[in-house]
Amino acid sequence: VQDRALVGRKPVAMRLMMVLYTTLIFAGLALYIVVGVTHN
Amino acid sequence: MRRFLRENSLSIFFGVIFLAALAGQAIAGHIVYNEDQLAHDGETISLARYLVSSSFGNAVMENWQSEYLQFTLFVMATVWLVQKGSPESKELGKEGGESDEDQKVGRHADENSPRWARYGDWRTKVFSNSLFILMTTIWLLSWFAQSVTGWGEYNAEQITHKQPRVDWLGYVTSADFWEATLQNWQSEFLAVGSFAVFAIFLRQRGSPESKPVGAPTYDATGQEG
Repeated sequence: VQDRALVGRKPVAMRLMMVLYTTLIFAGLALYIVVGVTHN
Repeated sequence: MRRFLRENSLSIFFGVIFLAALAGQAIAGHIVYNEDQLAHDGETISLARYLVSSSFGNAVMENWQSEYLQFTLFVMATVWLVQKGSPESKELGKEGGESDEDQKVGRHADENSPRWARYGDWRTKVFSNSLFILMTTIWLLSWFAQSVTGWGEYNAEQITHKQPRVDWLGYVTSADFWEATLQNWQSEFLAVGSFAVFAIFLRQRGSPESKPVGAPTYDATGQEG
């Protein structure tokens, strides 16, 4: 069911949440892969 | 601003408590790490240094991988497997990927469908499995991160105890790695399995994770309140 409130405006907030979570997760993954690999 | 908070309250709430719990874990873990160092005549480290240590990374990644495995398995298992009476299950008889019409893909897509659902080619195939693809990617990368940070930790311990270092393959086939992995997996599997069953008989009024309070116990499979 299409959310009527969305018609006519861009869902910026939902995209922002997606970008924030994805960035957070992949930054964490990259950091600890680098930490682990360089530690050895 | 108020509308932004209301429309996104679930993801904001979990994001905030995630950061608070991670900060708490870092502070407590730092204290434990330094206590251990002092007990073994080692050097203490700053909190900033602890945040980029294998010790902290390993503790974080070990839990991440099991959570993402849990969700990946849940997403995939519920395509084919059902639990009669559970709101977490799809209706009996609907096992599998379902028809293009049911899933609104290709020529069955409507004007509100995402573009990649409309193409009907490889892009629709990718989009049809995109949640699984992302969750599996995060699971595998965090499991790999757990292995390399755990490997460093393991070798540091080996050196302390005057034992030979192991290579990465040696570590990922060690009991140490599998104990750390499986102790997380077992709890996730139990929680998911038991939740699917509990939700047959019990209710939480207003939660989409529960059946409606008045829904029949031995039926209403896949109904969410």
